[in-house]
Amino acid sequence: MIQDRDAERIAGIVYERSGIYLQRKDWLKIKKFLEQKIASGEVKTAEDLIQKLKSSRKLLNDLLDAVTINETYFFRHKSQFDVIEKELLPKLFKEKPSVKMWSAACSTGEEPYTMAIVAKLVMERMGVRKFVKIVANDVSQEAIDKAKEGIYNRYSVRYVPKEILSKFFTKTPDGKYAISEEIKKMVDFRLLSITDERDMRSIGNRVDIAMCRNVLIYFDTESKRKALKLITENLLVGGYLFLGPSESARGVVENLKVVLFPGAIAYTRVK
Amino acid sequence: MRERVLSKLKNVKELPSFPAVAQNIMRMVESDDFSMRDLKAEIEKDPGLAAKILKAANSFAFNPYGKEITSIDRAIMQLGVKNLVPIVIGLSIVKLSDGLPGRFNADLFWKHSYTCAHVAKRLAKRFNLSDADAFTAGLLHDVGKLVLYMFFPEEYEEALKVAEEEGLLSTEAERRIFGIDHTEVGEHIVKYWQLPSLIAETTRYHHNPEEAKQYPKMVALIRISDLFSRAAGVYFNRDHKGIMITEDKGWIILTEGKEEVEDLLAPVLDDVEDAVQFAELAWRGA
Repeated sequence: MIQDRDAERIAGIVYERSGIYLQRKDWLKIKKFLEQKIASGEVKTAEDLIQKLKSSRKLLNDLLDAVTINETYFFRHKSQFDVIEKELLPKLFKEKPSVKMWSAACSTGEEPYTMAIVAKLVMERMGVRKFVKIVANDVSQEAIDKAKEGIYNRYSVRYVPKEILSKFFTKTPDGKYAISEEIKKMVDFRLLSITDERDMRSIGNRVDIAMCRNVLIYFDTESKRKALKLITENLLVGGYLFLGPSESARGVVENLKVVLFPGAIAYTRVK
Repeated sequence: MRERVLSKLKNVKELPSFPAVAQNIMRMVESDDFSMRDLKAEIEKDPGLAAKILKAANSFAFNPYGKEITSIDRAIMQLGVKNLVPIVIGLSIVKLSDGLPGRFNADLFWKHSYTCAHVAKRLAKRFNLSDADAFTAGLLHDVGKLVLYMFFPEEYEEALKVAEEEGLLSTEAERRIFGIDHTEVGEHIVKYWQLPSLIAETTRYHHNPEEAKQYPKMVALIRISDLFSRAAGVYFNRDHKGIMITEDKGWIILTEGKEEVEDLLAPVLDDVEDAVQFAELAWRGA
């Protein structure tokens, strides 16, 4: 019988090795992972798994994959978009004529399009017209193609409020949702890698708000350090970076400082 | 407006009273003159409270792997006499919001207070502060908001609206409308209830810990726990723009620059779950 305290100890090792904090709600999945590994004979006991996690990068990644299922959708981690909508964009729009946002590792486009929708809503509410540029990149050509196409299934739009859905999407004959042209043209998609120096320089270094979420957890320490450093270089001093809720830049980049917002944690570049 | 608030605060008949059982338990434990039987008898005066205490003693936070506790004396042992005071206060204090108009979001108010209490309790140990005191202080830090709302619901709704629209801190909006803010009102009521001076100080200075006199570390702890609870998504009103935590006075007083933010912040996510459960227990007895 696998105990809560086994899951807790495993979560502790994961935190030590990867900096990813698995919450209590993840314990069930940790236990299932352990059960599978015992059933397949890869490990014998919880203790055995803990020892192996200390040395095996692969086992650690397998566990993280099992616990953090890769999925994306519009308005994912909504409280971060609330901060952009209520705190950051109103301030930026008061201060400057153009704002640059960046979705680093944008997958199939839900994240940068959500940025664009939020920016549109804030401009309308404030009654201002600003130049909003949104850059989005991914290493997968398939993902970029799908993002450019801008057609999504119900699952992707399940957290989009009704009035936004009817305003910025049109329903296709086969029951899917196509993003509107006005949103589409705000986003510039590029096939680039967040660990490649040349690629990252091409993004340009005047980013006000960047997101890089639920990607770094799949990287080893060295790639994570490299990606975070390159992303930070593209941020303006005073610009913000949002990571996934279970990710952190702890001890990786010196000029990134934690900023607490209501419902969200971000990093800001200080020099 | 300030005068009107102050005169209300002086009119003892209009002030909410502190839950009697909590008051009695607190006095007994403080005077160090009690037996287990006395505590049990006092708690059983309020059967609703007794039932909640049993549930708390069986909750994950206090009894994660043990067997079920079914009697009040066992529950007190499990919780520990040291923890009993904050728990009794915690479980009975939700009554304070009973008489408020339905528009007051009591659910959110108490969830924030409980989260702050749980976070403060966890962090207290790391800084050699009393976790029982930290819990009580966290629970009561915003009590002034509740009292202001009780006296002037319309005006307080206005303050909430102004704060949201103009991006003001709750204290700024309150001072604009009432000429006084919830920290000052909170200190007043806590003193009227004759709670320890530590609680009066944490309630008074949790927005500006650098002004604390006797208990700067505890005040700073409550400040940081308040900010963490908010960042974890449990807040009554949004209250602040971004705060660069390592520059915050509370952070500096509490950690003396010796801690990494993420190390303290990460486990807070678990506290939020515990706290919300505990709040629901106190709130609905569920």
